[in-house]
Amino acid sequence: MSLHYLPAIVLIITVLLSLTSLSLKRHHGIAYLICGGGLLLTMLSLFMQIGKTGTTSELFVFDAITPFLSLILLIVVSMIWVQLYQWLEALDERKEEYYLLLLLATLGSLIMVASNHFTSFFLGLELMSLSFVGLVAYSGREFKGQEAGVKYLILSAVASALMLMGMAILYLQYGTLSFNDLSMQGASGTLPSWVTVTGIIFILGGMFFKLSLVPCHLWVADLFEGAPLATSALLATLSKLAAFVVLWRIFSLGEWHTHAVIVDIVAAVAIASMLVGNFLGLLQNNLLRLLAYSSIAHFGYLLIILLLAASPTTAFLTSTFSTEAVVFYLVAYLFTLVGVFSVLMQMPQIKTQQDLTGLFWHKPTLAITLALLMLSLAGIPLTIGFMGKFYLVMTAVNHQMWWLLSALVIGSVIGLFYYLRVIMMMIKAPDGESDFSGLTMTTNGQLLNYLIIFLVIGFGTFPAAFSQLIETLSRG
Amino acid sequence: MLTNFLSYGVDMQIPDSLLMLIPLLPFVSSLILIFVNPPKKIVTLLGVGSVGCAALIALLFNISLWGQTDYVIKAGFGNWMTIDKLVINFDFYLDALSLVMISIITGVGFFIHLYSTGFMDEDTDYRRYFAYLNMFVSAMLVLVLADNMLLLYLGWEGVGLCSYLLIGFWYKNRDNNMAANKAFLMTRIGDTGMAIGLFLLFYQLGTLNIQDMQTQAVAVWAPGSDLQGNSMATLCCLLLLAGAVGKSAQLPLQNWLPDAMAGPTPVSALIHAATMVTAGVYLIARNTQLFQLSPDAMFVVALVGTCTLLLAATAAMVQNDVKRILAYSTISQIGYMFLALGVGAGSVAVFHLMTHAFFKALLFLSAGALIYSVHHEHNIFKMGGLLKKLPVVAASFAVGCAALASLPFTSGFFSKESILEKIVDSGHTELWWAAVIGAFITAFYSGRLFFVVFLGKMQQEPNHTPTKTMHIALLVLIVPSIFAWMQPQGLIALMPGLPSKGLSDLQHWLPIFTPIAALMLAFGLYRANFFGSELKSPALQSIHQLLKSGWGFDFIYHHLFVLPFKWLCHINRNDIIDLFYRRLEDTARLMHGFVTGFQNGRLRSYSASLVLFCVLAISWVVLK
Amino acid sequence: MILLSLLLIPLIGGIVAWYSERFNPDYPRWVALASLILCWVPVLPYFSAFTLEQMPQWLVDEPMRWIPRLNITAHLAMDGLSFLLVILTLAMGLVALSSAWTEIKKRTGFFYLNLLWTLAGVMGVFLAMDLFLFFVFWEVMLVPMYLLIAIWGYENRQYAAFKFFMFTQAGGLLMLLSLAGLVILHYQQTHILSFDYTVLVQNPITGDLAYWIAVGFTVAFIVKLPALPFHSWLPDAHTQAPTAASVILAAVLLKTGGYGLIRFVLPLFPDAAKAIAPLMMTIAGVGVVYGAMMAFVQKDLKRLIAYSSVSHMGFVLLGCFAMNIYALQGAVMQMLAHGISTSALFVLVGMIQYRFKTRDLDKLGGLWQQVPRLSAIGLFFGVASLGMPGLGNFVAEFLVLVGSFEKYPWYTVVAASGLILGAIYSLIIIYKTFFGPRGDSVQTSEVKGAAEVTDTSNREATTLLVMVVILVYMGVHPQPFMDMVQSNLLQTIAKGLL
Repeated sequence: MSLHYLPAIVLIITVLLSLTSLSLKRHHGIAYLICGGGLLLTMLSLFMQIGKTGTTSELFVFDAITPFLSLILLIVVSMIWVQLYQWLEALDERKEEYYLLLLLATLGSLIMVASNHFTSFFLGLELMSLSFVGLVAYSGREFKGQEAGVKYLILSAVASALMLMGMAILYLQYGTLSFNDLSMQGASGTLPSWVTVTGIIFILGGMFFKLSLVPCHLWVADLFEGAPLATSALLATLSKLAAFVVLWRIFSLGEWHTHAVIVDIVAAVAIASMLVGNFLGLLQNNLLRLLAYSSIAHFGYLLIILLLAASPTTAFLTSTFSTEAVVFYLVAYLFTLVGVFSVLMQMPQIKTQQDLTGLFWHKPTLAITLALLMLSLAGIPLTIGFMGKFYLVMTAVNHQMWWLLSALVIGSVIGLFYYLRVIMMMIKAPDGESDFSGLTMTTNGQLLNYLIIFLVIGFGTFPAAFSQLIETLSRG
Repeated sequence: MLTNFLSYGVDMQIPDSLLMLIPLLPFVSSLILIFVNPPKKIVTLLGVGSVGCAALIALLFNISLWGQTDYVIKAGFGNWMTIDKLVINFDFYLDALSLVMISIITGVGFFIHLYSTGFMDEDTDYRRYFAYLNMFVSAMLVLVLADNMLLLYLGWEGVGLCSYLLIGFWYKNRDNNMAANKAFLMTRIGDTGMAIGLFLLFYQLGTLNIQDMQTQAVAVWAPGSDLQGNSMATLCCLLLLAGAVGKSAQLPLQNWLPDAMAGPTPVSALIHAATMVTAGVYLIARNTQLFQLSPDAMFVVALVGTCTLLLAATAAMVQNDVKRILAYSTISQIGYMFLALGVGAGSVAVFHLMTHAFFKALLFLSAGALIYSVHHEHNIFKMGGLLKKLPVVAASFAVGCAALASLPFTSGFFSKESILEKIVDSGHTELWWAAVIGAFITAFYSGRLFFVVFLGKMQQEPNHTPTKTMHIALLVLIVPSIFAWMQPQGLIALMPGLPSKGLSDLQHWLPIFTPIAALMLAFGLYRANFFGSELKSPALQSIHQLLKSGWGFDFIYHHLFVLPFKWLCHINRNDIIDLFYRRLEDTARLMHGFVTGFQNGRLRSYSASLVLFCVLAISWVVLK
Repeated sequence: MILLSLLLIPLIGGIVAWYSERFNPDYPRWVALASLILCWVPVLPYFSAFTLEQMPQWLVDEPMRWIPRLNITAHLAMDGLSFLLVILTLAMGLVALSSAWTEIKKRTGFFYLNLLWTLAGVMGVFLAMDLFLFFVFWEVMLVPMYLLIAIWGYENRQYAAFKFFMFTQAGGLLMLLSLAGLVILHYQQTHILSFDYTVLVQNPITGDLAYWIAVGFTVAFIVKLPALPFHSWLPDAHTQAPTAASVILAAVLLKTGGYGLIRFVLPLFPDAAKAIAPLMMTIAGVGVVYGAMMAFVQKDLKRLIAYSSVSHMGFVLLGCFAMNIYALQGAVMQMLAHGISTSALFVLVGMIQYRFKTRDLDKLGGLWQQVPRLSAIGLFFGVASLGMPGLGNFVAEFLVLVGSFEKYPWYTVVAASGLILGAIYSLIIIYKTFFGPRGDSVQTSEVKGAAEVTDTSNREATTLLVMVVILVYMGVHPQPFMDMVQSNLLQTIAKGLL
């Protein structure tokens, strides 16, 4: 038992602690603090591992980048946690279980991120998914939330079933469930290659569902809209990051890019996601649905990187450049997204774009933060989102993926429209109808806004340290 | 004897740099008038005085250069721009040709300014008028003094602008604006051709300096050089000609000038008769050597001149408006100058330019005085019998008409005679006949104009008498209109004509008797009360109508160019290219609708989508 | 630090201006004025460059570290071309400020923040010698501009702002791809990873890909220029923008396109530039005519001027791709002269709109009777835009046409017809606004007698007269401007000839 398992252990202990305290006495404050303390300790233990030499075990992998990604996950969760108390207080529900489920979901995602084996992967996935069912359907009185919960439950069951099927086929072929052994081409199996490919497709199907990529994207908007805000935030960040990291790992370890048809399928899905996601967002009024659609597009962009291993690497920079790009983009996107959610959590009554009318003239800090985040999502320079996009474009151009790039350009231009629309609404002259009097700015919300501005602009303007760090990590 | 005496000249040296003052004085005065609002007396002093001073300096130059033939004076303000081979200086160049030109511009200009003080006395925009007029004189002087084509072009466009401003001087009237626009645009068309000519010349000859251009042209396109060189020379000349016909109101860009009469009459006198419209003549005369390299181009010039002179003369016969008659006669007389240029008689062309400037200015000014006196009436048939009431005007009108008709012993007679003589020398008999016919018509309409206005019954009592300054200007201009008998010496040296062949008797006597005959005919018809009466025959009527509209060029151009252009612009009013982007927007909207259609909120279709992916992907595998 | 301070002054000034609104809505404009004047301080010493015999390659060269991971530097440098354009930016910034002085009454603080930040962004574009940095400025300057249009614009401002942003961003994305391609290709061919202009320009990339990269850059630049067929954002943006924004847009923002062509496309891709030259000349020639024809039929005065910009900027494109020294000099002159003359026209329209509450040509007319001073200046700039010799625009158009005539006579003839068409729309401006009987709007304002329509105030008159003087100076003595960029342009051409 090495130090590598410490974060998970800390989390488990926190879960147990919080369960115990819950059973003894319900107290929102205590639950909040236990959760926060647990997250903090986990982060600390993760922080200690960054830069240490890693190991690989049968079930888990602890290379240089894993703790970093886990840390990012934890930071994202903590940023949501900061808002949670305020937000839950406004909710007419029992509050303490939310922390429990949150911690469990986090644990699941941590396991997924570190998994090196289909077993650990599936374990983590289910732990996360099931916690999410609870999180989605948390507000028991809202019909929409209940509906969303059921939808998520059933759909993720279908997805899991598909993935299990895929795993079974791969096991038939390779005789192992470890990611590392997948690359040994046709190690023991005698099956025709199309069967393997079918297995891969099943797994991809499940993963694409989790990442809400076209055509498995239909659920995501309903979920985002129906689920409680914090859950949507977690769903958009936690679950997607974990799923993407795993997919990325399997894809590269399994050398799936050697199957031309898989590459084609992924490319097609990427292009479709970029376009469909952005088209969906185009005239969308509901902010949460908008974010859902935008996330479809963004993961479409990210899929480009998945394919990079597929094309012959040209002599540009280091082979780890694409790793760097993927990590940078992910981090940039996650920070931005969690920023958007935390801004939205500060103004729970705002649901649609119209509600934002004239926000800038009433609550400038809030509006500026949101505007910057929108620009970051749109990829305008001097925001962190742009740096991510820049990395992505550099890598993709390096591999000369012109089709994907043109889809990216078209998608970005369409996307620009709805990101701008949000800004446009905020700077409109207040029409008298919109009422922001109910908006109270808490100190910690205000601080969070400043932090977001600092992160988005700071890393967007001076990404040097950050990119250096990622480079070191991805080398190690 | 007289020439002998004069050829000694006055032994006087004046500094070359004085040359720069000539265009500068009116320019500075114009600037002052634009930016400062001095009392009216000062305006008059500045406006008239600056041109007067310029005229005095020009006179000094005339005196000091009298009798000399081969002189060149240069002065400059320094460099305008220098890039690589393109070196353009603000240099002025004075030789016999430009001396004649500046003398006309400043001399005639001065008297017209003087006259204007009376004519425009009651106008509220007195200051603006003199600002424009001074600016015009300055630009015109730059045009004729310019040492290189670009500076010439500056003056060229400058006079165009001032002409535009002055035609539309009474800006409240939309008709005046339209006339101004028309004048500017039509000349601009020619100017653009000329600009392209400049580009071509620059690449062919490597310079835009006028004198260097001539020498280069002779070197590059020497007579007898290959065909290509010759056709290039022709092309260059034709492009320059485009500019010339635009400014000088020759075919096919002639029809702006009659409309340009919308401006104040002294403006018509100065710009649209005496100076600016002769700029085309000046341009070709300036580039004589260049044009002589291309016989084809020369013939085109002659042809343009001939056609224009006939066309305009016939149009002048039937006009009612006194100013329009004079406008058409101007076009026609410039046609003579072009004809002279075309047959290689540049010096004679400039001679006619000079005499024409005198007598046409005189005519316009007296027409102005006439209009001023009779309730701003332009129609000649509403005048009549004014001989006694307005004796000075009548006298000057008579002199002007006589010179225009080229009655013997007027200045017009000598210049036109020389032109006809030179045509004979060139051997173009058919052009000679045309020119003689033109002379006949000219004398005819001059007579018609004079008789209708001044003889017969009085129709309208004059309500004003011309002011003293107006009279002075008229009386002074009568002198050169009669006595400018001699071609300036320097011109002949500068532009040697063809060797004289000698005239046959017919060729000698016919031109002398033509105008007399024409005048008699006009008088006869006048007596028979033919002018102004209703035409009976419909055929005659339609011909009359056609002539009156200046051979219908306005109509043709309107339908051939203006309407199609407007139509083309109007159908594209919404910008076809923008429509494309709007369609793109619509497409995006449609796509949005399409993809949103799948978001139906039904669990069964959502789970089907997962299956759909697998099915699609696997079928792709299978099909591959 | 000189150039950096040039960028920081307006950035900080903007924030101060915004903050100062809390105390008094009049403060921001004074802050803006102060910071703009302060901006002149760093550049003043370089006016001595006008007297230099031999222009150095760079007047100032300030390399700074930025993102060492990708060898991206914050390299700012200024040569003659940048200098002229920075001066133009600062001068037009003052003009914009003057035009906004009384026109902007709402949310002044944020307005001046955006105004100053736009200027900072544009100057950044002119000064950045690192392609990444250039791109950053290129994109970022659009955001405050977008806000200027979207918040303080006229009736249809949101649509216009969207269109403006979408078009330029689409071009920007294309440039981003090309930029990445350029750097990567350069790395493959030389094994030097650099975004630095001075490095990249030494070894121009070759090959098929280079061609497409050049096309990408060119498209991004001609969208901004704007040239056909990417011009359609401009009429909307111009029409709807407040006067100050129109001024900035016309005077400097469009110039970034021309600047990009001269600075980057021609020297970085000499082969490709030659290959696409015929296409670009066609676009330019057609653009000149098309813009002029569109201008002819417009009813909205601002829209008319916007289309005339399309026509005028066609000359810039023509000059850039004619690839000889006359044409390039002409293109630079055109950028400067058009910057001044067109923004003056926008200022005038702003004044007219302020006084008569309309820009509709059918409702205007006879302004000379009402506001003679304003009309006289309007006449001047109308005449300037038709290319009257003696003014900067003529020098520019003449040089462009002379230059392009050498290799492309027919395109030149087509473009030269723009001189005629230019006269048509310029005369329409003059004829429909200043001359003729009083138009409806002009009349009603008099009948009502509510507010006496006054002629230009001293501030307005001074602003415009200074512009008049500059334009005339450029027309009669353009040599100093040309000497500034001569050596630079010669190098560019020499590259093309290799």
